[in-house]
Amino acid sequence: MAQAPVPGQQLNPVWLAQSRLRRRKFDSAIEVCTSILEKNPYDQAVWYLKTRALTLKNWIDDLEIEEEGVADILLDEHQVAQVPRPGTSLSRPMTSAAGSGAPSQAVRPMTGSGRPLTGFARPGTGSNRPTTSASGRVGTASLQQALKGAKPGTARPVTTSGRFVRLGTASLASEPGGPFINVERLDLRKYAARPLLSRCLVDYLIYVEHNMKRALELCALATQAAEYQDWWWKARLGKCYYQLGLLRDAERQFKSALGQGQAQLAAVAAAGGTAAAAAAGNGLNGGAVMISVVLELCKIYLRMDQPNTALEHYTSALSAHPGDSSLLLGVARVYDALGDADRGVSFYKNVLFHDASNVEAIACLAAHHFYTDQPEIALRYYRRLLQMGVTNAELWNNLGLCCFYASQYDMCLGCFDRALALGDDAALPDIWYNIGQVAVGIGDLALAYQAFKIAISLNPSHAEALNNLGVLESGQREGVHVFELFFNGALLAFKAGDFQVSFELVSQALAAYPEHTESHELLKQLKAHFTML
Amino acid sequence: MLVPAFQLHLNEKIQRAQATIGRFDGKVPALACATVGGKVFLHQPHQQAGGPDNQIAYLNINKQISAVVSGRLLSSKDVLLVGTSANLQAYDVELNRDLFYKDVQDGVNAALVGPYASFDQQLAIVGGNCSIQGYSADGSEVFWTVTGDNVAALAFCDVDQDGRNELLVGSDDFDVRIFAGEDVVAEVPEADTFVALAAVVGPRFGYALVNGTIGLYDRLDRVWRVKSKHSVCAIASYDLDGDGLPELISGWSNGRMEVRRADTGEVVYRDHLSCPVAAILRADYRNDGLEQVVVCGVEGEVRGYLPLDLEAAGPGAASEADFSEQQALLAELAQRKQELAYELASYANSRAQAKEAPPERGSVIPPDTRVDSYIAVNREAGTCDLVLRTSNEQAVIRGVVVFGEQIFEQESLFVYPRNPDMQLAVPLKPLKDVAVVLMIKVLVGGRTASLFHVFELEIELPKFSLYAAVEKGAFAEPESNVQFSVSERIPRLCAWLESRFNLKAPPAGRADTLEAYFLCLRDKAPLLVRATPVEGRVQVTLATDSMDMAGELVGDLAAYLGLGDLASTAHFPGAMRAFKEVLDQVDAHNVTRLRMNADMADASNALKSLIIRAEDARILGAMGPMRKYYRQLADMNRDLIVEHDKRATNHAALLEALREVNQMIQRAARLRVGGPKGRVVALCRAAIKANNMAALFKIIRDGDGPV
Repeated sequence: MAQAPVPGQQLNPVWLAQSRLRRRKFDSAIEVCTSILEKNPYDQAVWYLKTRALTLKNWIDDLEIEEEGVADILLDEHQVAQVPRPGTSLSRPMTSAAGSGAPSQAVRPMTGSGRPLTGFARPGTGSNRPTTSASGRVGTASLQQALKGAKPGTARPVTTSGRFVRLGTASLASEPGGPFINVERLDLRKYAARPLLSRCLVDYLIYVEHNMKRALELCALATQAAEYQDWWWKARLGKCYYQLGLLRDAERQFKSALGQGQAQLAAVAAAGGTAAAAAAGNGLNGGAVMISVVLELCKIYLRMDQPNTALEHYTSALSAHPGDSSLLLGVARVYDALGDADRGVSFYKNVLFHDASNVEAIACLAAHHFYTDQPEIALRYYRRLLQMGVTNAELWNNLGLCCFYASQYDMCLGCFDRALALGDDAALPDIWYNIGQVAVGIGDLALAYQAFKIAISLNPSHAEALNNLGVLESGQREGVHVFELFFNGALLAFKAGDFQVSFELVSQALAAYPEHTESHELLKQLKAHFTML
Repeated sequence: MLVPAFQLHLNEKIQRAQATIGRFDGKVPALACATVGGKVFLHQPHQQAGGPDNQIAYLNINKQISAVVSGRLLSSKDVLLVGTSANLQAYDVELNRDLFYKDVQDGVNAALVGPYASFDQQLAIVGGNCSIQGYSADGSEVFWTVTGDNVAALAFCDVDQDGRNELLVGSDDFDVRIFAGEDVVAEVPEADTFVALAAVVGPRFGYALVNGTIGLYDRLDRVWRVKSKHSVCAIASYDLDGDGLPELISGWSNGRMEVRRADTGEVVYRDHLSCPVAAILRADYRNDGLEQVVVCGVEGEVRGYLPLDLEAAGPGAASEADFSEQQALLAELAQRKQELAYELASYANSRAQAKEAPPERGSVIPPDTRVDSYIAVNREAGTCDLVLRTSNEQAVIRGVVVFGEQIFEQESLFVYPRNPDMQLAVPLKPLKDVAVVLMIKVLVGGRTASLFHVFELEIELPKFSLYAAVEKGAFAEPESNVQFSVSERIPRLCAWLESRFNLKAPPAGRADTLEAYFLCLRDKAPLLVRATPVEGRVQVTLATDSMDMAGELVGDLAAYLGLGDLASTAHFPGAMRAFKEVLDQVDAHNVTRLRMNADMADASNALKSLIIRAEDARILGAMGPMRKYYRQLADMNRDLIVEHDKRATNHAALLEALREVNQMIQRAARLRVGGPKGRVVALCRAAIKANNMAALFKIIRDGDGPV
């Protein structure tokens, strides 16, 4: 009788590893590879498979992860203009008076960084960026501020590359028998000559080891080996430079990867009357525009606080790839961050036209409609999100608010219930704050008082909740970006007859929101009083 | 008297020659100046938003700034261009975006923006380490050429009055080169490194040198020059006295500002700033439609001057000007009178002495005395001597003053013999091969006389005077040579040799071939000139190991024969070997730079995180960790400084090597004339960009080849 074959003994282990890698069962693929490599450490095919598996396991989409570290914020001065004109810089968005079509600040809240709130939370959107002012170096007070995350319990990384390193270390520590590849002892020159192995290795260095120095070295050697004609290596080179913080070098590499600056060489070669050189100089990769490279290039410009340059690059790439949602989204995000809501919204709509299930676009449109006093339409967008299977505390919270303002009171509290059930420590303060808002709206001041109290207990520096609690009681102060707080304080002080304090507070309110009519009124009254004195 | 129309104190340091005024939003002017700490500040007096405090805005460049200029690269507004030692950034101030950001390996020493040659758009011209580049608005390099040395000053001026700008380039080898397109049209030698060049009017341009000289050229002829003990900081031109002719305005290190007439160099106005002048600009800074001269001082003082409007000033002002002119005339006449009186007195004096003393002790020399001069080669000392000889026993040479630019380290030489004799040899050792007219003043007198007669002589020093003719076979033929053929006759070439070299006898050789051997007295390098007729043309071979020498000879010969185009074959194995080493060095330095850059970035990231951690520990009051972090920080900082030193050394070496490369291209180009010359430059650049070294060598040798 024939015995039933034991699976795995019959199967070729290399084939098995390959199959598992293809089916994205990385851990088991790694396991198989490790056992083969124990027997024959020089098996290149298996080495390649294991490297791929490790890379894919640790791979993160670094196009979307963009968070500046504390050190980068406090110690770097990448932006050229310290005081740029409003609307040309991320640190100075347009004001609503500039006719951008954005809902005024009285309606749409600002994030801690002074940028308009978006409908979608990405790393970095809620960051509390202390804008570099003409005063120059920032002191320790703002260091404290910078160390605090946007939400309680979340700290920002010390440096940008630090974030990547930390994401990587967890997997490294769990590796039995030390790291798979001893990076410092690699002979990179040898690898650079082999195009396939070197690509696999550089991804491993970037995504698993996060050793940008060595990766950079390998990239440089490989680019040289490819005679400076391979866009892929140039893009990787750019990525390494970017993570090392050498933005200008990264910019140059990405541009070169896009084939820019090649046309000129072709022209000279053509003048020399040589056809071969002209053909070689005709842009890399057949002159194609790689979307990922454009996205990374624009990321650099946003870091350098040059949103207009980023827009220009997005737009030129869009002419090569019309309707690409990631590019459209990029444009929309920049306009949104600049406070140019009209154009931002039109681009978000454009994204939805090409990609009907783009969560970010839907969420941002919903937020826009909500803040422009159309909660019913916002509700429809949020319901669409719900249909698509997105269920989280923030969504239910927003649904609850929309229901409330659309007068569907029956649905409202149900939504908040769900939000509370789903919410974690980061989301709960905001949810309780909103419940408080609703309670104020329906006149249940006791509930409102309690809700704000809970919000503050969860996040002791929740400025909006404190402010509203202050309205309910009398105020405590925290947060400089909420103009209401200063205005309310000023009004109270004015009523109490403390004009000096009132004047100081109202000036601060106007600094946060220069077009606030009531503040101007108050200031006028104060000035009248002062002149009388 | 010149009264400033406006005066401002910006309380910001302004770097010398790094200021510009532009309409960065297309409407109102703003002043952009480089200040300390790698920053540019913008003074925007017409900006509506913000009060007076907001008039100054800062731009971070974060590198040592070497040039700040502005210009209409875009059709609607001015663009700010900031150059550093390795980059050029074109920045759109209004929209806060980079127009382009370019790596300029040769550095940016000087820059300017304007229409140039046959390019239809405005170009940003950048002068660096031996090279000149032109960028268009999209940042592509549309123009590239080499020049003899580091570029110190750039200016546009229509020297040949053809309606197109020529580019004036003042470089550290003391030459002004005039470029039309990529070709050098003319070279004007000067005496020192340049500070600035400025077009004045028409073909006239002014120049300023480090040694405190300013002057004015009309085409290639110098009109006037003035030297001062202060150093000149900036020059510009503007018609301040309202006579319709622009004056040359100069700013000095002691804060003085002078306005001099373009035709005579006479001072028209003078004013004093409280600090050294940083830059002189002309712009409509008040935005009222009238152009002003804006003078910036290094401490941030800004003064604007309006031209004197004679009609508006009324008759009183005109008569006042008249009056001052009369007075000046009077003073001049008085001075003339004084001088004549002195001269008369001295004649009377000497006559009286001659009567009293015996004839040989008197100061009067025989009236038929002449002073002869010729130039002889002194092979032992390695110089060529200017030999002066009087024709009379009684008259001896007591001293000689020789004026000649670029011959001496200063401009003149005074020689007085210990034992005066009839004959005196003045050793000359020109630093460069130039044809100069020497102005000689010979003091001749009796042996014991206390008064001398001055003989003024002029003698032309041939261009290649420092080459001694030697016999055939005195040295082995140099292995390097440059060959070309010209359709000329041998006697013309002989005539060229005679006029350019210090030859006593006509060059050796039969009638159908020419062969002449020379030895350079400066470095004992041999030179062989040979011309043989080949198929109705003359094949010329210049054998020398020095490419510079060969280039100089080719250029001079072509000019003498009036050749527009000349292609040649250069065979310089020794120079090529050295050049190959230089190229290898460039590669090696580049690799090192790349690695050091990465190391530096990595270290600075670590440094930043340590600072944050240390501060965090301090805020938390954890003194132990804080001390630990700060200690690490100090260690790392020390390492970084060491690394930085290494990097700086590497960078300096790299720059030097790149300069060598550019100079080699320049040398290769100079072995050709006209069209082939421009071609060599363009092809070499293409070969270097394509990193094709084999092609580069072929181009240098043949003057042509595929890239």
